[in-house]
Amino acid sequence: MLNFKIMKYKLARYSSILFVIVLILAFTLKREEVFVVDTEVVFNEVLSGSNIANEEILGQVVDNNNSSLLIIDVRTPGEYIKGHIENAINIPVKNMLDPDYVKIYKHWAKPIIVYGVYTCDAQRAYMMIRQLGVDSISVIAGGYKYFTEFGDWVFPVESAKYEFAEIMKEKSGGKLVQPKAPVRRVIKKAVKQKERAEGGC
Amino acid sequence: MNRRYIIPTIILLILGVWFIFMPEVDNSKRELSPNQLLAAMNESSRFVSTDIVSDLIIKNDPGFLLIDVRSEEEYSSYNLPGSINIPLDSLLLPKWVGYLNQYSINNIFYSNDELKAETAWIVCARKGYKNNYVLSKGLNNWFETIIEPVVPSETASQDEWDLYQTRLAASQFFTGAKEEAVKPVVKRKVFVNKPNKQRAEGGC
Repeated sequence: MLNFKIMKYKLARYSSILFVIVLILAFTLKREEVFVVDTEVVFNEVLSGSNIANEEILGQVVDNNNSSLLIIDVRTPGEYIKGHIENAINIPVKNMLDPDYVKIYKHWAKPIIVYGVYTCDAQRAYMMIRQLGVDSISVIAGGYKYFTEFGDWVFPVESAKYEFAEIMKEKSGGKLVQPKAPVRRVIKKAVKQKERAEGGC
Repeated sequence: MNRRYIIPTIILLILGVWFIFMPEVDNSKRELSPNQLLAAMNESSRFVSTDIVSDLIIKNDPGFLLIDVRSEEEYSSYNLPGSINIPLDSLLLPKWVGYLNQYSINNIFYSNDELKAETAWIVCARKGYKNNYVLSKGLNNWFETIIEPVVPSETASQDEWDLYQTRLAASQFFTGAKEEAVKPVVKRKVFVNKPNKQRAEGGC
C-alpha cells in the first residue's frame, strides 16, 4: 500500500511538470500571423483605387532610382527566372506567409510594389500584406507583361474587351437587348409569399 | 495539507491565475486568420469556368446565384441571365448580407474581367462567408468561349470538337439566333486607347 501511494505522488509530480513545460512551449514558440487591419478599411482603399500604383510610383520602378522601394514578384519561380523587373524579389503567392518572407515585408518602412502575371494575383498578395498591417503598398496594374511594354502607363483594370450589349443585339437579330430570365431573389421569396397569403381566408 | 500535494496545487493555482488573465479568444467572429485565408485563396476550385456556368443557366439549376459586381450602368447595359447586381462599393451593406453569408446557395461573382469579382471574393472569404465562387476571367471570357466560341483547328482532338459543339449550342440558347457550325466567327474587339503608344487589350 505504501509503495503504491509513493508511485502515485511521483506520477502526479512528473505529469504536472510535463504539463507546465508543454504549456510554456506552446506559448513561447512562434505564433501565427494575425490580421491587424479591418477588411472594411482595406476594401475602401481598393474601391478608391489607391491600391493601384500611380504613374509616379511606376516611374520610379522604371527608372530604378529609388533603392528604398521593395519590389515583389508574386509569380512562380519559373516565370521569375525567365524575366523579372530589376531588383524585384520573388515571393510566390502561396508562400506569402512563410516566416522568412514575412520578415522581409512586414516591417519594411518604405513603399512596397507588388506585381504578378495579371493584376489579380498581385491583388491577392496586396490584400494579404495590407491586412497584416503594412501601410504603403501598391499593385502594378496589368502585371509584368504590360509593365514591360508600357512602363509608367497605368493599365486600365476591368475594362470590357467587347461591346457586350451590341454583340448580343446583333447576334439575336435585333430581338433581344437583355437576356430574358426571371431574376431570382431566392432569399426573399419566402417572405413575399407569406405577405401575399395574408389576404386569404 | 498533505505535503505531497503542495507542488501540484501551486502549479494548478498558477495555471488558474494565468487562465484568468489570458487574452480572450474571440469566438463570436468567424473571420479567417491569414493562414486560413491564404489556403482558401489557393483553392483553384473557387474559380468556375464559363462552360460550367453556361451549363448551370441552361439547366436552370436552383442551387446557384450569379452576382454582378460591376456598376449599375454596366449591369443594365448587359448582364448574365438570372444574375443580380451588387455593385462592388455596396458589397458590405446590410441588405446584401443575407445573400453572401449563408450556406445553401452557391454565389458566383463576376465582372468584366476578374479583379472586381476577386476582390469581392477575398472580402467575403476573410469574413468567413462560404459558398462563394468567381467566374474565371469574367465576361470577357464569357464572350470569347460561349457567345463566340473559337473554332478548333483541323488537327484538334474529338474532345475539343465536342466542346465547341456544346458551346455553339449554348451560344444559340443565349442569343436565340441560329448559327451554322464551323463558320469562322468575326470577333469585334474594343481596344483601350493609350496615348502615344500601342493599343492594349483589356485584361485583368
